[in-house]
Amino acid sequence: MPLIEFRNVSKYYPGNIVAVKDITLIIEEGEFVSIVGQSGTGKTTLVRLLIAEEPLSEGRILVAGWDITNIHTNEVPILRKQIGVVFQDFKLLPTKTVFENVAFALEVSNADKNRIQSIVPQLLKIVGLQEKAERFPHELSGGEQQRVVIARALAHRPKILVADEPTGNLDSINTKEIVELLKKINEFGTTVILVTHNKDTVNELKRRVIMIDQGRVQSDHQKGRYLLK
Amino acid sequence: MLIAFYRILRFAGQNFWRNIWLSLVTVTILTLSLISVSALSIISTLSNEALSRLEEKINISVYLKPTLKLAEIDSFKKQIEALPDLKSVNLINADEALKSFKERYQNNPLIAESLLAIGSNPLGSSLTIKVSSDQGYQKILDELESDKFKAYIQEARFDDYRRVISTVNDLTGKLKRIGYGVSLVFVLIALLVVFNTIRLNIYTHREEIGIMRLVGATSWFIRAPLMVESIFYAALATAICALIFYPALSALQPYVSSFFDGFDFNLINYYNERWFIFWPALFVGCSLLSILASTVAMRKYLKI
Ligand SMILES: Nc1ncnc2c1ncn2[C@@H]1O[C@H](COP(=O)(O)OP(=O)(O)OP(=O)(O)O)[C@@H](O)[C@H]1O
Ligand SMILES: [Mg+2]
Repeated sequence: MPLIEFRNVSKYYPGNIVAVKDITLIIEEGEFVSIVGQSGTGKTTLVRLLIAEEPLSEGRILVAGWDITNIHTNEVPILRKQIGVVFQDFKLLPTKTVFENVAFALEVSNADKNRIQSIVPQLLKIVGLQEKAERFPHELSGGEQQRVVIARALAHRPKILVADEPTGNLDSINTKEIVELLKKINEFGTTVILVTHNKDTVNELKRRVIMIDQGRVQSDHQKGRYLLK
Repeated sequence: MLIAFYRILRFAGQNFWRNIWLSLVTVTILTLSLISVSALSIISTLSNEALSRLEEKINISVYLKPTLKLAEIDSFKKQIEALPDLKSVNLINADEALKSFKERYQNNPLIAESLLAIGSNPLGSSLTIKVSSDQGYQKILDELESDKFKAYIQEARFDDYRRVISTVNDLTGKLKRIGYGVSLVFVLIALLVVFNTIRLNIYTHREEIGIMRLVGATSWFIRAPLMVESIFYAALATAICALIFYPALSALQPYVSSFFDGFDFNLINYYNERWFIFWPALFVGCSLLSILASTVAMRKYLKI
């Protein structure tokens, strides 16, 4: 059973906007998949469909065999615990420390104090920020902030980590670090989906690359490169 | 479960403090609504009390000739009691009448002196008649005018409070209508203000709420702090209302006492005897109002 399956998925927005058109995709457990494509071709839409942030217009989406096409609002939190999400704009809470920001993900789903005290340091260690647990977001570099977001996305030990342009606001050194971190997370067994604009990143990864163009899959290569038309 | 409860309380507290001015405005308007509803309650308590006392006062006093013998008085009373529609017939004999007369004027030396000068009891016995229906009084009065009673009666006096009652009724009716109007306006404003406060809180916390949703917080967990916050506003407003209510009652009491001249009616006691209905009712009402407004705000602005 594939971990993620898109079957003829389309998404239309009001006003005849076709964001995603007839996409069929299978992503297996443990894969590291890059999704590339020009701006406005539907990459973020694809992510939002996967995490049930938007309803789809046509087709079906299955996550580990679970048909989330018509997922009920009450079930969305269950899905979100299986999919960690990282977006380009960091979205850390400015009034909380690094530790508290990561702990927040656990707090809002009834984790008790002991579990929080044991899990958060582990997560911070994975992203290499255990020394900076008591800092506030504005005392961190962009790359460090994004690493906190990744730690938070991992709080529920999700099977899937989706990162939508996590390096969009970062310089090349920080970008490399983030990509290395994602590779490490992938090696631990988490399936990683990386949406990116960055050609170098994709070329260095030498992993599967799905190119989206105007809402459709244009190419899907197992050891791909970011080929520009 | 307990830890979730604690976190919800904490989030609610944070909501309250972060928009403290807004919270104060919200509590103020809820308090004003509660005060106007309480005032309405006081008005209707007073008017009900006044009306029932006044109704109690309506009676016909029949003063009998002082020369009547006891047996004659008795037979007269029996004849009266045989009349239809009576509620009660009370005999006050001459001695009792004198006693209460003396008591009433005990501070008046002139009256005491005159009584002494007369020597014997100048007062006769009297009957106090109450009729069960409003229309019955005229019939009894007509009856008393008739010849068969002439020998007994010195004077029949009808203490008619019906005019007073209708005046009181009109006045309190007007006051109540004003009370309802003011309360309604305050409640409507309160609904809008609470709605707006929760809307603004959702806006202030949009990042936090967004993150909560992304990391899989249940919608209950996101809504609960806002609910708790609305109930908290109601609780605070009820408490403040109580802090104003009792001093206001104390201030009002002298006027009430003088209005209820002779009867002892104590507003504070009245409400003290009923606090366990009055305050929970206000609190629950206020909470429902607050929850209603915040539910609408959440429906509209919390996309979960
Ligand atoms: N909420 C929305 N309402 C209407 N149209 C939308 C909405 N969200 C996205 N779109 C449209 O859908 C299309 C795909 O948008 P999407 O954000 O998925 O692109 P993208 O590939 O992520 O672009 P970028 O690389 O710039 O992030 C665009 O044409 C966009 O304008
Ligand atoms: Mg995008």
